[in-house]
Amino acid sequence: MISTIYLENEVRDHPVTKALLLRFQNATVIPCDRYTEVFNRKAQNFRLQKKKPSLILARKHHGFVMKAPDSYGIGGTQNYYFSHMLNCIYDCRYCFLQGMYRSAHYVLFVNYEDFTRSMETILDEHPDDEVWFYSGYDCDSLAFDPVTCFTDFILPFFKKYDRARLEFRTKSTQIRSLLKHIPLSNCVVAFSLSPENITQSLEAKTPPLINRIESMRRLQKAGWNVGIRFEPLIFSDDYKTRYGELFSIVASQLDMSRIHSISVGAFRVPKPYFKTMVRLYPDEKLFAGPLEEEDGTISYQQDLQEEMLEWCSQQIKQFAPACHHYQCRN
Amino acid sequence: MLTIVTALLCEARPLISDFNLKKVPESHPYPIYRNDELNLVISGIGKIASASATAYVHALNGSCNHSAWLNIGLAGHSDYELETGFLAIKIIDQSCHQSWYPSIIFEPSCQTGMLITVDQVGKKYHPNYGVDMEASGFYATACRFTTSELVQCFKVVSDNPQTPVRKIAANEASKLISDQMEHISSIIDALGQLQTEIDTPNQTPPFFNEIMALCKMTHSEQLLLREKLKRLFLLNPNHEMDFSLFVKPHQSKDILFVLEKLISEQKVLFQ
Repeated sequence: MISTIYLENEVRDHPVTKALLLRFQNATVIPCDRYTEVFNRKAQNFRLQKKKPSLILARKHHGFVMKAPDSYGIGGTQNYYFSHMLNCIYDCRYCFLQGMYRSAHYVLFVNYEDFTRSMETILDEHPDDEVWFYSGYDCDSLAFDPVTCFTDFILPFFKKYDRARLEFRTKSTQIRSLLKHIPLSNCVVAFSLSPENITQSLEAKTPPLINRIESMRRLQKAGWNVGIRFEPLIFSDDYKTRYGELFSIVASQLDMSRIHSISVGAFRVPKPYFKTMVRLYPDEKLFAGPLEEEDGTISYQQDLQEEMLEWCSQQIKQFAPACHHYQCRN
Repeated sequence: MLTIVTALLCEARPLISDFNLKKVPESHPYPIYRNDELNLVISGIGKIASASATAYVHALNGSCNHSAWLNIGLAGHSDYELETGFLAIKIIDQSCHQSWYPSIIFEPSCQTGMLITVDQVGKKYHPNYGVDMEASGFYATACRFTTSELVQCFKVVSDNPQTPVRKIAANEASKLISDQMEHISSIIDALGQLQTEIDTPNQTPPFFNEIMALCKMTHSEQLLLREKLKRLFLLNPNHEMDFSLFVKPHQSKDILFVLEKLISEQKVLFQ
């Protein structure tokens, strides 16, 4: 799976590094001073690298936990996000990462302990608030977990801090590690779901919808909070039929009374990223659709976006009336 | 198109023969050989020679977005046995301490290894590294012209601590390269496949020329026309253009407006 590992000299002796090198004993290990020498170089092709991504083991030096944009979140007042990893093993055509990064290699910041240290500082800054920490912005939270073992590290921290809230965002069925732990009431495992035809057309290498739902069922059964993220909503002329089918499957397969939260959000990408995405995949039908630019962001035409968000929200209210429901806009 | 850069004629000879390359008749500062798919340039020894020959061939061939480049040559190595062929996975320029990391997006049939490019041949070997005189100049220059996944350096070990650096006869150098032809061909094939994967020839979208003939368009309007036609036919590859929609006298703005309307009328469906 991983045949090449770029290794920052600084993290050579870190326990996470050692465990990974032991796991990938056959990988070629290439030393480097800073991961940016490999990851940020010009003249890289994300599309080609996606065919055979390498793993980069690095130390993050700052910016461990960042304030989330105002529109981000599911109701909390203090919202932060963090990325222990850059890039994702999946290859979703709508994903902004392919426009944001020059390289498709996976960067894993092995100094997990600095992330929790930073979370502690933030919790101290907000002594009376619940503070949400969102994982899964620059990577899928769980897809690479069997390799990174990040959940094994982070869950005990959240067990200690009631006031801290954690969201894993994922399309993955890699839930073994979660199932080993006692469910935490302050942790939500949020699954991104799309209609099956969208999954097949635009979400390369992701597990099929039915497998994701099965994982959600198992987590629910084990007592974990499970969330649903219908993001990004992808327009097609038959979107009501497709999303209607998706909502029916979800409603029939999951215990909706125990779903933690549901959110819907439109497809939106900063314009420079979008231009790169089109350059990488000039024949992608998604990019030929009814999109427009507003304030530097490419998204569906305003009326269409509103219509989709409203229609989906109405449907969700019908099949999950008691569930917390959020709309994510720009 | 793929361009091979070698330092010496004796390194190039087996390649010229195996790939049936013909010398370009015109006069150039570097000997250049060619067939329909490959260029080969003999740069002379050293990173500056290699860099300038690479740049020269690029300029000569005109801009091509996804050209592939392969440096082939001899190298010393501290650990590898003589006659071992390897693809460089890291290149360090000894004099400026800069490093490059060629991405190998295919399964190489040969070994891989790290490489230090030096300005002068010495008797010192660096543990875990090969030593050559061209790679850093070649790699840094070629990466200015194409994406780095299409730039590779393949070296054959000609000396190691057990058989230290010495003057190598031309026929010996040729044989070292010639014995690696299987690996070299496999690298060239792999790079060719990667090129095909991302090569999106600047195809003229359907009806572009016919619409252009209707009226004058500025350069930016032509770009818009291209973009709109492309979108239209992405959404509906079977769209039949009805030219009566373009009202006479033909105006570029009206044409673009009609096309945008046509795009909005197409169904967006994912199977």
